[in-house]
Amino acid sequence: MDRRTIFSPVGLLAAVILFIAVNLTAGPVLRWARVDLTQGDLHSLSDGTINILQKLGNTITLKLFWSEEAAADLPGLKVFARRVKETLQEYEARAGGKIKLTIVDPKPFSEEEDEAVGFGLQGVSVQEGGDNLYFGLAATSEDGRSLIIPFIQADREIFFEYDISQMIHTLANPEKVKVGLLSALPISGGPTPQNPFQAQVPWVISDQLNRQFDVEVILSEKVIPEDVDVLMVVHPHGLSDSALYAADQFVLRGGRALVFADPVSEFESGSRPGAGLSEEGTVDKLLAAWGLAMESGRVVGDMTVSQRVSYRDDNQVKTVNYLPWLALREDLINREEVTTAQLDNLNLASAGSLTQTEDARTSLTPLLSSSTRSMLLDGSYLVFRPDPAKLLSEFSPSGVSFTLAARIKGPAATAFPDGPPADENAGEEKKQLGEHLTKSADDINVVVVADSDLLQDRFWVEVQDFFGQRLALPMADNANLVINLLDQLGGSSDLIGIRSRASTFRPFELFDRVSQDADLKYRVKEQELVSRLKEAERKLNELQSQRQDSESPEFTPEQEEELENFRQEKVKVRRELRNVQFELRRDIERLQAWIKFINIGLVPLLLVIFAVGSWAVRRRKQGGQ
Amino acid sequence: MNIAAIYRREMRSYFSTPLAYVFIVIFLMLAGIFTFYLGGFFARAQADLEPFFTWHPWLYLFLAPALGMRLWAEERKTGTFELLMTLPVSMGDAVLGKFLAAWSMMAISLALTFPIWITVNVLGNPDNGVIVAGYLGSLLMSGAYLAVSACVSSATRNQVIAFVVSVVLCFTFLLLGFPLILDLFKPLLPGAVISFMSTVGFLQHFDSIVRGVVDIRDLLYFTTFIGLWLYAGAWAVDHHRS
Repeated sequence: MDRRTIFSPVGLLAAVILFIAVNLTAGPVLRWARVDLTQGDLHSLSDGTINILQKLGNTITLKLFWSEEAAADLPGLKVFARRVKETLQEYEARAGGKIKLTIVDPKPFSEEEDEAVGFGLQGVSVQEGGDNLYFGLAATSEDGRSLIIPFIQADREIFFEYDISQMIHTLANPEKVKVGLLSALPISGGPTPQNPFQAQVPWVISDQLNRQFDVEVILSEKVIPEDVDVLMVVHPHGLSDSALYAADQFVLRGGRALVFADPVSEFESGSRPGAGLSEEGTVDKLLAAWGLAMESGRVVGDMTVSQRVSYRDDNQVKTVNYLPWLALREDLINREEVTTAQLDNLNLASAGSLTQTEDARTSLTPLLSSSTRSMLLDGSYLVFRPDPAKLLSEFSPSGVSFTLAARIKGPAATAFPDGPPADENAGEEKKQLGEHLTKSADDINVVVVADSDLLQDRFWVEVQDFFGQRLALPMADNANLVINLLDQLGGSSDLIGIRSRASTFRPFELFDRVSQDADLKYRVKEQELVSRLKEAERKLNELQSQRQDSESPEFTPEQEEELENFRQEKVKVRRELRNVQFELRRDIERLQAWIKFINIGLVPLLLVIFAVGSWAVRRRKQGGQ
Repeated sequence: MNIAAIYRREMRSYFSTPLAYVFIVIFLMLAGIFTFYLGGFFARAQADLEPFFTWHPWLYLFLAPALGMRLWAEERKTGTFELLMTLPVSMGDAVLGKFLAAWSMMAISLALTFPIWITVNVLGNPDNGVIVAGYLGSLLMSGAYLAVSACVSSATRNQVIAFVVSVVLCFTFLLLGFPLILDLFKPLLPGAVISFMSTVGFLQHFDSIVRGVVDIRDLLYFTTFIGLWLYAGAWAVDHHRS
């Protein structure tokens, strides 16, 4: 092309048209060619969510109710709302038309507000007497079922994707999750091997599970029914080899399992002194096949989180910390896992420690851990009348944080390489067992908790009889842990894979630290001054009583002086306290002023000095020439 | 190689006079003042650079035309335009070399705002990926503003006119993507036109990059936008020459 053509009016017109055409067609074509530079890929949906969206059969309508005007004075919430909108738009874009998103602004007294109220969304009054602010989400399936988030809380931002994906998943799969319960303990009530003729009351955890899931107690122990979504195995040490074989094959077939494997079952030792201690057996082989090891008969004792117990010793009631009973707090519960992040306290009793075997091919994510002021105790000592004070006197911290519960994921082999246990290998039953798998076709998905006692009522719930009704008042989050884990394991594996998102709240930690230090200094000073004030007050009271004793209506000069001293002291103390507060503000203001100077003036100042310097050098050179 | 020669000639002319220093100092001081006073950096108490980048579209609105107005207008005023045209450089080389030199000035100014990046890292725990994206978005947007200014500068001999017309044009492209303006036109224009307006405007693309996502569509927008205006600038120079 020659210059004349390139720089002709037609050329210019063609360039403009080309620019518009390229940018308009790029929109739909290059939708996913992008790089998310944020920490934790904040603006990208996780693979799990994308899988859920791609598997959607029917259309789901998402309605986001957001009161734009009512939030005018809440810039923080507006920023969060924008992010929520963007996330939802991405859901819509990724669902191939199966998600329909509408953003509704429920203005006061409008039809939209009625609709929000109809869904059961929560309106929040931002100012006294002001308009209601709505920020909720309603998801509706084609058959009219709907689920809502009444108010989207900014402090649950890291779980926002999980919450939405779970809503969508639940609407797309309306059946309750089926839990197969394989237990050596009488969780569901009924007779026990110890008491074959006496029916036991079901544990509270059983009621809770029945409300949430379709629970099937597995009695035959040899084959896990095919429609079971999650297998819950409680105290496998008490189960027969054939039951463990069934569990092994279930997991290898891709079934998910939640296993409560306990080195010491306090339930058993409670009913029969000396019992409940788990010895090495098939269950260890089962755990080893999943890449896990738990020392038989050894339990974790933790000084930091041990529970206080009262017991009678030599006709005296003693209260001491009982090392194997743990009351785990937030810092020992994995905050990054969706299932455990919201749990505050969990009570465990004589839990074991889980470690990875050397040849493990699976990955282990700790969910619960002990503090580093913990050690492994001999379980045999606990099953016969344990002495808490003696345990305490022998405590020596190992400095290791033991894993008490963990999620296991990855490829695994069978714990029964020689096939089903010999005695079960005959006749009709063999057919039922199906084909023997030697290894998992896909990654296994198992959560192992090294304690079964956390399910017992006495460790997490107070049961009261309220006019004939059993009222359960939880003292710890034990049931929530079990329900969260089953809920997640029972969902699609996509739901399990949705990681919690990094929080976008990033405070100025330095200022926080400075003000915390200053606050501490203030408190110390305040204590000191208050005690000085008290001392002055005491002296004054003394003088007062002396005056009353002397029956003279007048103060002596000495008393007058003391009174004056007290007044002055009070004024001085107040001034000093105010000064401390003033200093704190001044420290921060000074820091802010420095930061402003560095960012606004420092580089320009250096540049000016450099420019003047180089100009002077040039002048001198020119002068020299 | 001719681009490099033109580039060096331009850079030398920036730094042989106080022009470069004055420009950078004004840029840095305004960026800082906007961040701390208008952006409420301390009041937000968040370790990110949102209050810093938010003001960049407005900062460039005046600074980019100030830098771009002299690119060609001055050559024509001082009579060096004819001299440049007789040199063995192609039109493309001259346009690109001049533009790249001005853009480098922008990049240097932007790079010298590094204390604010250090500041947020000292104060808290920012998402540095988002900050990198922010700088990239800002640099691309400054290029777009400069390309418009360079084009206008090539069409006139008067620098003041070049400045005013550039500001007006840049302001138009800034407003096209502005939610307020889009809302204003929503009831009057069809949806496709509104969507076209926001696609052609700067803001949507800049905001998208600044939040931490580098989308190829935004990169494509800025590069084609710069390309179009540089071509239009070359077109204008060619017409003046002939």
